[in-house]
Amino acid sequence: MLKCDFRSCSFLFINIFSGEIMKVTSTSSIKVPRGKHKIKHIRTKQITFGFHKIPFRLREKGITIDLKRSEQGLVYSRTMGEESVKKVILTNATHLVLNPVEPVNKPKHLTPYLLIDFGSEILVQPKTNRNIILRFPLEIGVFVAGKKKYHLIDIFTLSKQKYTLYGDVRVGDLCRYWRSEIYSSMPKVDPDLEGIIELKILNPTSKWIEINQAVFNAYGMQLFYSKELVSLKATMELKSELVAETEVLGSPLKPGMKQAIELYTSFRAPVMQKKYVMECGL
Amino acid sequence: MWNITLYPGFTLLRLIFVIIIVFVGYIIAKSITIFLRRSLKDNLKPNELRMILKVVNIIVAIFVISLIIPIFGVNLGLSLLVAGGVIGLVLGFACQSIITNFISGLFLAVERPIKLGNVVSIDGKDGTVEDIKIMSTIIRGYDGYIYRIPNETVFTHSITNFSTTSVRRFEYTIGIRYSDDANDAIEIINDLIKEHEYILINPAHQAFVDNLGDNSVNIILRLWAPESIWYNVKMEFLNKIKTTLESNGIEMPFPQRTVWYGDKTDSDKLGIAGN
Repeated sequence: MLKCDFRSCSFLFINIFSGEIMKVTSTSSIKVPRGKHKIKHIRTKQITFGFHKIPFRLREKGITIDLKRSEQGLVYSRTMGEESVKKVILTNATHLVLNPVEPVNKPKHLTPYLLIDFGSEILVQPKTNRNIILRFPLEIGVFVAGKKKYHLIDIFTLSKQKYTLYGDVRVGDLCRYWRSEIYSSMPKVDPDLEGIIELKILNPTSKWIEINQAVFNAYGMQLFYSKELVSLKATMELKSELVAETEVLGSPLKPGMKQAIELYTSFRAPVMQKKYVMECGL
Repeated sequence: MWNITLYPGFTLLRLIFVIIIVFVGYIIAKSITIFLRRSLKDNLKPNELRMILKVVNIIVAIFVISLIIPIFGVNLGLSLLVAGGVIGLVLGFACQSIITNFISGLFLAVERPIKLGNVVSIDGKDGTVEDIKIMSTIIRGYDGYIYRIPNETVFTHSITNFSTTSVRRFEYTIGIRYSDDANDAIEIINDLIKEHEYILINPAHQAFVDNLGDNSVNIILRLWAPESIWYNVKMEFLNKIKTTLESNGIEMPFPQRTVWYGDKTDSDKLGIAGN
């Protein structure tokens, strides 16, 4: 596993002979601030994704979730730091479902786009296709489930939330921001906090292209989860030195992973594009 | 053959002319209708669009009839022309503002400088665009009041549209005491900005000492936030800055004035050391 240290490395490039991501230290090193989102390898008990019987109670990592039966139906409450949610749900649902959801809902749904800042530059050789691994923030959706029907009642996240603008003020898109180091193999992450993106970078052009970031569209973002991992697979096709197209693929990273419930399905909004064209620079 | 008289003074040729004029008039009316329907259907309500199309069709019909009548041998004559001119003049003066608003509404519908839901400032009225009618534009102000602005005013005044980008910049001026370290204050503010979820990473914020005021060192802060929530951020963040600076021993000074006494005797009497 190769881990990029922001304080010393200047940029990375993909070696077409070995397929490895090479670390290049420049003599005039670029000073990159130490990542604030550095992952904490929390070894406490994990939040278990999937179906849970009602009544349900969870007390992990500063989160308290309670779903109890009452005369009217269900009473849901969640506390997390200063945030507190309480809802009465008039339903005869039998299960609660905890699922990772597209990370564009917290603190408020303002945009369907997620921008991953690589923190360092990647130089991609012409006519190459290579995979890199990135991390992305997780948001956890709480659903009540009856017969084949789910209803979202709450979303929470343990990861830090921040927004940025991709592009300039005139035509840019607001994006949820996340900074991730670049890995060539699977890093250890807390599956309640971060997921893993396997990003296939395709450079069919005849030029060396430098990339620093990738923007993904939440519409069509299919997440997969297992006990120890939440993942998605995506491609980034470089069209020129300034333009690229990203797309989240609907396939799991490892066999046996389950597909998470999608909040932003493209069939619900058929006009929404699943791909994202990055035309304001890479 | 063309000179066959259908009735006294009206030949077959004239009838063909009439048919051609009616046909051309119909084609023109239809073309204008299709063009207007396509360009205005997104901007106008169906009943308003129908009204405009009806008016246009009537104008074309009047024009066609005025061309046909002389062919039938009817002389409209000077008197009709004069009467028409006078009526036109009177109507023109009477309906000046209506016509101006109507034409402005058409231009607004084509140019589309504002859309429904946009947050705008027009002629000193700030608020959200609720409706764009053919004669007027309706704005709901921040105070909840409804403002009806004639389209002529909308068209002839400068419009500030705050909804054209997804982000918006706002600014604070923060004055600190001369005895406080401005660099420390900026560092504290920068930390707060980094932690704030809605203040954008890009475009980057600016924090710098702008001027040395009479009573304070003035730090300017320029911040970017998502357009839909920028005002909430603006309201909430200033108090956070104030309390954090104060908890770090940096305070906003009150206006103050140092008085120096020129008369040494008076100063001595008051027990104040002078120059």
